[in-house]
Amino acid sequence: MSNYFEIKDLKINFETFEEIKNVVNIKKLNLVKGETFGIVGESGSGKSVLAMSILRILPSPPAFIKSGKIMFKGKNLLELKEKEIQKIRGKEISMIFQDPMSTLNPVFTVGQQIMNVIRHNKHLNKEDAEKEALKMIKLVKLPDAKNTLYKYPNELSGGQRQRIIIAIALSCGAELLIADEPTRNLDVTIQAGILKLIDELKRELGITVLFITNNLNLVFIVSNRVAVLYKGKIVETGTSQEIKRQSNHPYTQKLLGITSVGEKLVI
Amino acid sequence: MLNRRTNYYEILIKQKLKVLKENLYLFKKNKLTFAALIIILFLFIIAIIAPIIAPFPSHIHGAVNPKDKLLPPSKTYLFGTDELGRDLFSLVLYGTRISLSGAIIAVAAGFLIGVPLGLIAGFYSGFIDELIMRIVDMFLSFPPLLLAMVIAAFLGPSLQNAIIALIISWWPWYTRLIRGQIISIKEREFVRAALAIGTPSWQIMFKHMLPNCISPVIVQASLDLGGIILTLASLSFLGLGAQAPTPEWGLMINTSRTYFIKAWWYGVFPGIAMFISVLCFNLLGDGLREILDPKTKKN
Repeated sequence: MSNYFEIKDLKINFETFEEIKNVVNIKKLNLVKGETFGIVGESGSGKSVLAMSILRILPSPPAFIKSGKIMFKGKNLLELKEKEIQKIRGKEISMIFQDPMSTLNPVFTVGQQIMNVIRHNKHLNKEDAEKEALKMIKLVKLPDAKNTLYKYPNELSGGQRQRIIIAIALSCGAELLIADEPTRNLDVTIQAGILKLIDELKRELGITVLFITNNLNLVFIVSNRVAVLYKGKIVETGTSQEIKRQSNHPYTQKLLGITSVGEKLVI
Repeated sequence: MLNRRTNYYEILIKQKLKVLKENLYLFKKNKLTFAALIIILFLFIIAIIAPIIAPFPSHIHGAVNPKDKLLPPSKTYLFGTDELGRDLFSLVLYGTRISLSGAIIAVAAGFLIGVPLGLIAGFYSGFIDELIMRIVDMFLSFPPLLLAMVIAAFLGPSLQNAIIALIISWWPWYTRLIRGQIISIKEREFVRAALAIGTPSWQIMFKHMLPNCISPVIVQASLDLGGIILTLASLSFLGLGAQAPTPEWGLMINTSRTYFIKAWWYGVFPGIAMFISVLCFNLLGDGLREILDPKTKKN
């Protein structure tokens, strides 16, 4: 299944009046169905740009995709028409974002937001959509699912919000989940909970996860394979164990040096 | 079914009612706004039932009574009479209907034209944005009253044309206001998240962005109601709006100028009516701003 998801020669530039800056330059990256693939890199290395380019939600200008292919199940996502990519967003590839505080719309209740997505994509009536929404909230293991439906985002904690966001992202049957630093603004115990949830969901639903983070420890815990991104280029790829034991690139070694190696995060 | 599950929407409505109650409480706490709201409701009732409660309904439609001309306020003629012997009280009551309906039509139409255009301009930056905003700039470069005057003069003087002129000169303000709001929330994560989940653009615009940025526009619209009443009266005063014998406040004040020394009541009562309605709409707008935008709340 090497042709499930593949990025080839992707080049993304940021073009402003002053300069043209190459932010992503990836030769090859492929995902196997059902795995968790970690992309790790410092801030500014182009992780989020890469993630957004997959669903084509990069603000353009300033970002321009110069060349390359993003193949998903035999289709080149970069060549699809807006209507076709619309059908992929949410239904086949879904994404969760860095900041759970601002990803939910503050003027609607959680239930309205989940049901909105479900009703729009699955064409269900109100009652079925409500059942589906409840099911999704139970799936992400939020206690008291019924009451959560009626809450506004500001009434939930960061971890709860991130769970809701995962629920929304998966509510239309996406099989590839792009998680763009999903645990960034959460404290360590909540982080562990979210990671555990993503891992469990992956097993239950058989989805593929593209996990993007700047935390090397997290990547080793959740991912089967890891790519290290540095200044827009992939400097190293391998299984978590390989990278941990014997990394070849000086940047990876530097990163590993910073992470306290003996520390173990239990999930 | 005895143990029927409470419907999602029932609970939602209950929640909304709770919010409404809180807002009503805020309204009541702010006495001036509450008073303005009451007076405005009162004005609306007058506007609706004006032909019924007016003591001389025939005067509204141009019936004249020359033997009672320019009488001072008395028991029969509460506000006195004009130069044709018409009862000013009836005319002022009926004028409420004309002014309020004119203002509401103008604001609503301006709102319906301006808001979607602003949404589109803010959402699709680039050429469409440039195009819409340059047109808006063109309209905004004239003072609204002057532009309305030119358009009204071009269309020919009548009440309908004056309202059309007001709509044309008023919508750009809403477009500019809402575009600024849209641009400020466009970069928020939830918009991007909605896009990533496959929400179509129109739904993002109207369902996600609009509710997040509508409140300043509502405040502006309620403040504008007062301004529009005034501008409509100005147009009539200048002879570009309502024509005799329509009992429009501005027109009445214009005709009263000739008789001002002999009959002070002729100009004063329509003026007071106008003053009260404009003041109340402005107070209501200020109050709404305090409720909808808690940042401006005074402690």
